[in-house]
Amino acid sequence: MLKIFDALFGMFSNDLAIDLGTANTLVYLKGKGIVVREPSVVAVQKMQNGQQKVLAVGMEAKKMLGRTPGSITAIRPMKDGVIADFDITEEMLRYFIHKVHNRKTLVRPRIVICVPSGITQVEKRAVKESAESAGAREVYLIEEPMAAAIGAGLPITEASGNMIVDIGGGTTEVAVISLAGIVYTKSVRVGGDKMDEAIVQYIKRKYNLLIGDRMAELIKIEIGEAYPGNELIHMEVKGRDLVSGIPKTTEIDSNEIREALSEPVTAIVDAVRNCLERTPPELAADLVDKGIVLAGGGALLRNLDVLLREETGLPVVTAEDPLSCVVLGSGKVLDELTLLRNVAVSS
Amino acid sequence: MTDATIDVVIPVWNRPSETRNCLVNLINFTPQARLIMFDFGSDRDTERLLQEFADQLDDRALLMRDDANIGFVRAANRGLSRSEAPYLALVRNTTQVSQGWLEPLLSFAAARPEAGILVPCLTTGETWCRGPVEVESASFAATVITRRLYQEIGGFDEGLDGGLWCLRDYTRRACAKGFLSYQVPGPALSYQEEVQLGSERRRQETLEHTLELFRERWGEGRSYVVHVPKGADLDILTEKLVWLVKGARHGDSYFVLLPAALHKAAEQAGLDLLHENVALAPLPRLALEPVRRRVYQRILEKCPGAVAVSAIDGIAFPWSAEFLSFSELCQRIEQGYR
Repeated sequence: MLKIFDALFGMFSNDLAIDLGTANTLVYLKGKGIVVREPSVVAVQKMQNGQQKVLAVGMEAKKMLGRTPGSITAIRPMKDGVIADFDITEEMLRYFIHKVHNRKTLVRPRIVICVPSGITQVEKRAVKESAESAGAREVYLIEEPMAAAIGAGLPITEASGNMIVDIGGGTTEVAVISLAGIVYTKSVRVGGDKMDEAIVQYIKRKYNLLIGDRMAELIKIEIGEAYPGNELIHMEVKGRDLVSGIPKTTEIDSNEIREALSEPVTAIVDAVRNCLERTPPELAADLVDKGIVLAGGGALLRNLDVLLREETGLPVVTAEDPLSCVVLGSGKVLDELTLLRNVAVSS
Repeated sequence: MTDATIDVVIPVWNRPSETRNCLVNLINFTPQARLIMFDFGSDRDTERLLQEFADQLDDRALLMRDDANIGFVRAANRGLSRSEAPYLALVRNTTQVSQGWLEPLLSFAAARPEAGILVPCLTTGETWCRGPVEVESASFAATVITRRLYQEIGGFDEGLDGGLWCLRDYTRRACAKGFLSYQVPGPALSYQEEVQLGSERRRQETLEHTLELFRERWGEGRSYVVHVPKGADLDILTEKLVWLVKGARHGDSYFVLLPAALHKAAEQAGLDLLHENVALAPLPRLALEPVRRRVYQRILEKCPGAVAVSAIDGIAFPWSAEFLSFSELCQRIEQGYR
């Protein structure tokens, strides 16, 4: 009976694709495009009975990061590419679904959710159940590199090999895709967050200056680079002096940040190398011609493509809209159900 | 030196569940074997699985590893190079052997010293296997090789396509050293057809390169339609088939059109199972001439360019003005052996 209602209301629902990222969550509404692009942050208040009450989600919650009173905490339910807090993730999903499906409480959409390729069956089931209890009628999971490859416009259904490197907030996924399947994938828990952390640590170590995550992210975006560029870029950094305990401003340059980022960047390069080594020779030959496509926010790190080209000797291109590749790819499969069923993973 | 009768080489690249099934079946149904597992760049799951098997099997197993994906053929060669037993087997990790799969192969090899390559009955669903019959190529799904042959010709050619032509080349190299390849009936092994990876263009290039090398080495096989006229008996047919099998071993294929009664007698004598490339086709007993001609034409449709041959010198080929006499065919076959 419930299924009949679901099918009936399903006709009025707009299907969704969600890129549940460590740093940002993007929602694609079928027929409309990307409608939500908000940080994956939830502000919760601890009640006296021990329960948690969600106060804000997304942008509003991010503003509270580090600025909340004792009883309120702004948390990121996704960590290192996996769900660290299932209840909060469910709340976050519910919030995004309701935000898109404004007040249509009876309408239960079909949802495609992207998950990192390295997650376990238990984690997959948890994501699926979270989405179902957040109001989804049908839930399909697709692996992030597959979604990124579709979003980047790679011919994934062909027999030729395609390599995608999706550098997200928590994980970097390197995958070789052929015949609508992932032939080989390597997932490392290094991404934008680890880069921010590396910058925080470097500045702390070198200048005795403590900076916040947001400052570190800003530094990465402004002057971060993976390979020496033509010009040296400088930036003023504000933080707290660890010796005197008072706020201080200092100037850093892009060379220093390149040095700071060397560890996470090397981990990404190693993952790509490892994937290339373990790719079947038949597909590796295709990659020599077609090269590597970079997607995800990390792909925007200056000269990362140059470094990868140097290290692998293969052509490297950055996807047109790397930040949205994953959600756009998931959105594309909403229009093609056969493809969706082909690329969806079982949980 | 181990006391195993046979070393089974299993090249492994991922597919942990299929690999587990394959190994469990091999352990259960091949107790006299030592397993040489060659892992060429598998993931951690598969790597751990292989390590577990190796630990449990102790000296009944040898685990080899290469971090890079060197491809199936190279991995197979590396595994084969470490074998020590009198027989060597190559089994893909998606193949599942069944009870008693090996015994018929080893008995046949012991009885026929010229048999160098032995292919078991392989199936993707239906179980149907007759023989023993000589085959044009082995199979990467499962094949047994005698040590004598391996000592003579070594492993597979890594410069070829890693598929059909690589296997054909191996059979031809074996044949050149006097070893024959047989499919031996017995319990069927289930296997999976491998998905062809890589772009169409790249595969085409590889195939062209392989064919060029193959032709350079072995020449080009041709197809023949041999007509055996009424009046020929089983002895004459046997004599002719000896020549045809010789040609088939060198890549030629033959369709032998013969009277229905003779065909039946040949089947009873097992002459239809000499070589997979020598096919006997009966001509309808009471049919009119156009119907019999259609049998010939159907073969031509299937195999355009097939050369007509009259099995008895002096008797014309009934449906083509241009044809070879059997003596001319024999000359061609002999030339192939020079």
